[in-house]
Amino acid sequence: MTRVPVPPWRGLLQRKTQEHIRLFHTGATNLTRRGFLGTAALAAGVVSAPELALSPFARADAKSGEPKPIPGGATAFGFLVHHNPMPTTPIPLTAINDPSEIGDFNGVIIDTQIRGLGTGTGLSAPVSFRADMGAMQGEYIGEDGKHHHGSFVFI
Amino acid sequence: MIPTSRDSIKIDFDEGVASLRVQNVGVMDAHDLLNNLTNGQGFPSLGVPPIAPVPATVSFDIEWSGITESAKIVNVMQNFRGQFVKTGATINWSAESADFAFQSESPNPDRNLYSVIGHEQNGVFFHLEADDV
Repeated sequence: MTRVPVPPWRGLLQRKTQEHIRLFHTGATNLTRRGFLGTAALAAGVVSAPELALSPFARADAKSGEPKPIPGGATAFGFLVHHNPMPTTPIPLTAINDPSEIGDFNGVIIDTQIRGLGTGTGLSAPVSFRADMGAMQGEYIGEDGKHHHGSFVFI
Repeated sequence: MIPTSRDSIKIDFDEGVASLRVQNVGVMDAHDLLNNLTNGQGFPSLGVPPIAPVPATVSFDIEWSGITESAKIVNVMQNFRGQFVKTGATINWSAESADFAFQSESPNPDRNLYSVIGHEQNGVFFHLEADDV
């Protein structure tokens, strides 16, 4: 059997997610890494239209220096997601939570909580969506403990 | 969260203008929120059946502009600090899989709920400065 190396941070996320599933969702076990990344993408915001809930492709390439997630985040249906959604109400700017998904990060970030309408295959009328999306660009300490620079988008 | 090219992100913090443009990035379409959270295993206790994710591509163009608020944030509890501006935003978003396609309406500034541009430091880069207290 061919084994695909799992980068350390992904392995950690998978273990933590499986531990969470085992503790809180005994009917749903063996959540994969893709599932976790999907969870992150989901909280980062995708579409309330029923046909779309997106997660990034799992990537098999093993790289050191992957970013580490922020320690906290939000919870959706009992799943901890390392992302703080932008507010949906007009609170003061000083009251927002850390908008970065990357921990040990020094850089620029753009983030939006936005809604809209759209049309899709088989839909007889426009459907609403809401997205919490953005990007980070800058310096971070990777899982390997070294400084890196990179650009990342959350969908 | 996925890596993207440096060129896909453009930010002018002082002007409160930014853009995020991505074309045809590969994702998995998990159909709905709970199947995304459970990687296609559904959520039986809420009556959501399992649906396997399918490959899809998404493209989007998000534009930030129009500063409405500016603030320095120092959050000791969350270990982050930075200069932020709150702005308006618009989005143009589309997705396509083998048997489904979605296209958002034309960019509409009225759809923005909360958008920010910031320059922040968290974790080991977080520190307090003399004028923070």
